Amino acid sequence: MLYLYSFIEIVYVILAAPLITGVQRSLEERIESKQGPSILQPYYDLIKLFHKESIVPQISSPVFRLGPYVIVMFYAFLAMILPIITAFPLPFAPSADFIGGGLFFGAAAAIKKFSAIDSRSNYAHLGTSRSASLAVFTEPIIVLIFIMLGVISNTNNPFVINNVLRSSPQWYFSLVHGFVLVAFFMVLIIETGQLPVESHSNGELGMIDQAMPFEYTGTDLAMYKLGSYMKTFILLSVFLNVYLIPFGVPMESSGFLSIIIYMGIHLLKLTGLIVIFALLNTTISKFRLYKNFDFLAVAFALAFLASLAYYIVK
Amino acid sequence: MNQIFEVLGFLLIVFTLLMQWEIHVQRIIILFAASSFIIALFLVLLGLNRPHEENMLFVLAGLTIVVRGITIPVVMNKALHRLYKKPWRVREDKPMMGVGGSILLSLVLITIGYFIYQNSLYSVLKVRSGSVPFALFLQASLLIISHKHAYIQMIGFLVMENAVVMLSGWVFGGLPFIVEAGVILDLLGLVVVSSLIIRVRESSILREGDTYESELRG
Repeated sequence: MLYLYSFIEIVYVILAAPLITGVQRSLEERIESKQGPSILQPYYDLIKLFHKESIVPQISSPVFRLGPYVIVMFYAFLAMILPIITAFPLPFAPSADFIGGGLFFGAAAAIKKFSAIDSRSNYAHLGTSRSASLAVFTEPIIVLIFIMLGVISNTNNPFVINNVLRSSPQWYFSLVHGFVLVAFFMVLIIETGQLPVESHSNGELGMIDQAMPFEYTGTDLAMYKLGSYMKTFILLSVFLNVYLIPFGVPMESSGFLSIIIYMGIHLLKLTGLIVIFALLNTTISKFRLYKNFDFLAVAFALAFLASLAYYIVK
Repeated sequence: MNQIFEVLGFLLIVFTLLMQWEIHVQRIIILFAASSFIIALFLVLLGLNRPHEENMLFVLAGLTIVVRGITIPVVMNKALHRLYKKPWRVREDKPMMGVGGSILLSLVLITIGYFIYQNSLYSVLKVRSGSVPFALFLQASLLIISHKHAYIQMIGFLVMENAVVMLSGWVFGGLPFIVEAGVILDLLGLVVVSSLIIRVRESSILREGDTYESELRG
């Protein structure tokens, strides 16, 4: 049965990930009083791209072709080990804790950069350079966040952290959790490429994630996009299920039906978060590129204050 | 109740960090007004927690709202409108250091404040979170020395006073009202006394029948 849950989880992530991006794009346009694309537009794009031929730069190596497929594989694996639709570990969960999961996220990001660089496109290099500069500063923040939650729960297991936070109001309403929550939200903005940090246009002055897949086409681009959708979906799910609203995620005793029902609730939770992102994206103007590091400094300060609050308040 | 005080204390630290992040003077004034309201809330809660101090803490909270939450920010804002055509664009032109650097330095100071308190007053006072006002005090000092704009420096000074109010209310409970009110009102008092002195001086000059020019001639 547990293997069936794993299978359902991975299929759910792959199928629902583009929907969340579609909802966000549609919502942003509607906030700006435009008609906007259908929420199914990412699916249409993916289907169109899967039917197209891939063109590969002559000077690129196999890394360029393989990169997007490996990235999707990594995210599919992460979908099986993180608490997305269950609050109990599924068969593959013991293979990595939070730090291990972080390493997989890091590895996927590194492969993304390597494959982008391998295209030899100047724009891809530009995006990779910017992405790496930001990642250098986001990684310590993420590590600090994980360490603080490890301190709270005495473990690095996301399922245990979920259980500690849902069963202990003392920790859930603590300053440490509050600071970690805000710091993680800020990191989420960076990791999912939301507007204060990254514009969604192809303007040279601000583009990061738009620049990296510049040379990708056809099926390869579809896989690259699917990987990005899955990354956003998984990160938002972890933020919601482990940190922000750990309540109501089905336990093993809840049964199959409750997991199916929870998928709908999970989508609603994600939509709520997407509404916040859409409001942010339509109301806050983009920071200039070098100002992103100030944003990161504040996120780091909040994560650091979480550790200080732990020692002061305990 | 202690947990609420700790939350308010850390909120003030975060507000001061946001002041370091922000470069527009008008927004810093708003942040200061908001932090003053937090101080007032802190005093109200302290008053509810210490009924033996009668209503003095509520009076202090009211004074804080009137003076620091409303009057000083409004006066500063009006002055900005008077001095600049686009007051919302007035900003720190030449910060002593970058925002990232100043925030990291702020964190270092918060840690130093914690260690100083832990190794000095904590053994006497036994209030673990008493380091929060210390940290706030050091942060405010950094706000002053890392900015050149007079308004921001003045707000840094006011934040420093907020830290003193917090420290006196939280850690040294039972201070005489006149002392605590003095801390809250000192800036206003300074302005009032200065303006009174100037008025008295002006009237004495006019009584003698001298003009401003003759005063300048000495």
